[in-house]
Amino acid sequence: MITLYDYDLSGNCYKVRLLLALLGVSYQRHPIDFYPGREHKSPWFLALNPLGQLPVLEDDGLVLRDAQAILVYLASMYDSSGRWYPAGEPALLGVISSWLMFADAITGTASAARLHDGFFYDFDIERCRSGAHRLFRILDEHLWFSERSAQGWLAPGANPSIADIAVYPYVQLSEEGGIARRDYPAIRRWLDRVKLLPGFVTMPGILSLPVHA
Amino acid sequence: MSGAEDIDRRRWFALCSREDLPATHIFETDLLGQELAVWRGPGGIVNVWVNRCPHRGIRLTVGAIMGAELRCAYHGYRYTNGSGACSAVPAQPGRAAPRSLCVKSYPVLEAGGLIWTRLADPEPAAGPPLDGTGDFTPLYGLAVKSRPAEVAIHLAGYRFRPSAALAAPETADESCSTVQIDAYGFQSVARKGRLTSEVYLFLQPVDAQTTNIHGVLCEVPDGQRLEAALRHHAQLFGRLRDACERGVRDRAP
Repeated sequence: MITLYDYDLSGNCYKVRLLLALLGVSYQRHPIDFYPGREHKSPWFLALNPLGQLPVLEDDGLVLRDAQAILVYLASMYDSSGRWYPAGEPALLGVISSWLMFADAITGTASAARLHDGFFYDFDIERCRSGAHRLFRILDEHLWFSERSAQGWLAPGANPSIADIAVYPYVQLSEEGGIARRDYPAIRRWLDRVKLLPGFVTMPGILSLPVHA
Repeated sequence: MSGAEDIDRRRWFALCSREDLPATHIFETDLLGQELAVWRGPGGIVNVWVNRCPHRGIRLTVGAIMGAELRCAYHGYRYTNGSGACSAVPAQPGRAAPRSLCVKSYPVLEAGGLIWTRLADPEPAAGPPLDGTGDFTPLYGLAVKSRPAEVAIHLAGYRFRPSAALAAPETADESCSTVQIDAYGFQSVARKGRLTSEVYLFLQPVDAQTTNIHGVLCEVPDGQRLEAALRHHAQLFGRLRDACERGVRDRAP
């Protein structure tokens, strides 16, 4: 049985829960008291992940840290369709990896702004927000062109990939860090598309959309 | 409110392109500081509504489209395509919706591939500078953190290349001229020999810090030419935005 060391309000934990739900893979959650308990910095957790970060995934003796790495593993291991991380297509894998790095940059800006506003982290909030807006501009233009040339996902082709799942949460949660999305219409449409994926699940702060609409 | 702002509230402004309104999506924008929720309902009807639920004031853009209604995310109140009238209150299933409850909506026009609205009456004599006929390709539009007058200065110098010439390097015989139609509109024509392309550029005063640029190409290039033309203008818009925002920063105290 897969174990996810998890925190409800973490977007990086949520993206793992989201992919597990989309793949229909069952797992058990081990809740970590991230705030205010700082359990992710406790000795027992540091033994599991020396970086002291969530999420961590355990599967059949394998211990994996970093949300993006976990997405790669889960899609490679459990997606029989091969669509979420297409192993046989090197160019596509390269593109997907570049968006996984982009997701990390989103974590360093939009997620950091949310940690500042909601969890009282001592970050330079203006720097976090302006950094997020810089990334959102790039994302918006990319998605606008993707809507015209393909199906409007981050990587080319007809199907969403783990790139979309990796980037989605902290973009959707950006308003909790004071980062409005009004100026990014293509991003807003893409957020709707993710919400309409079969098997989509929410987290606190994210509303679902009616699928039948 | 000054006279100029009063006139601005009466005139037609471009808000977005027709492609910005896919089924079941609620588009979010501001015009002159007024928050708007824009969506296309059954029958092709475009709704431009005040972005507030008249019940408890939550933004309608966090709601959802359910057939011919927009459902508020907070208490599920539903508002009708075309009229904005409340049609259902889920907490009171047996009772008719209150007749007085209605989302304020604004007039809508579709012209030149864009969606236009105005905030106040009376309707001005002048409609949008583009009519509904002809082939138009909406360009990638973007938000500039600057005031319309600042953006207008940069747009007046807009220089682009004809769509059919983009596959080859630029040559000395190419030219482009841009004229200002009014305070918020520009027309630009690029030439190379017998090849010409024409674009219209419109400014949307969003809020005190933000101006949106909406562009339309007056042709529908095929295949790769379309992609090249869209990329060409997106790149030029991006540069224009950067130059404009650099100007704003440089003048800041």
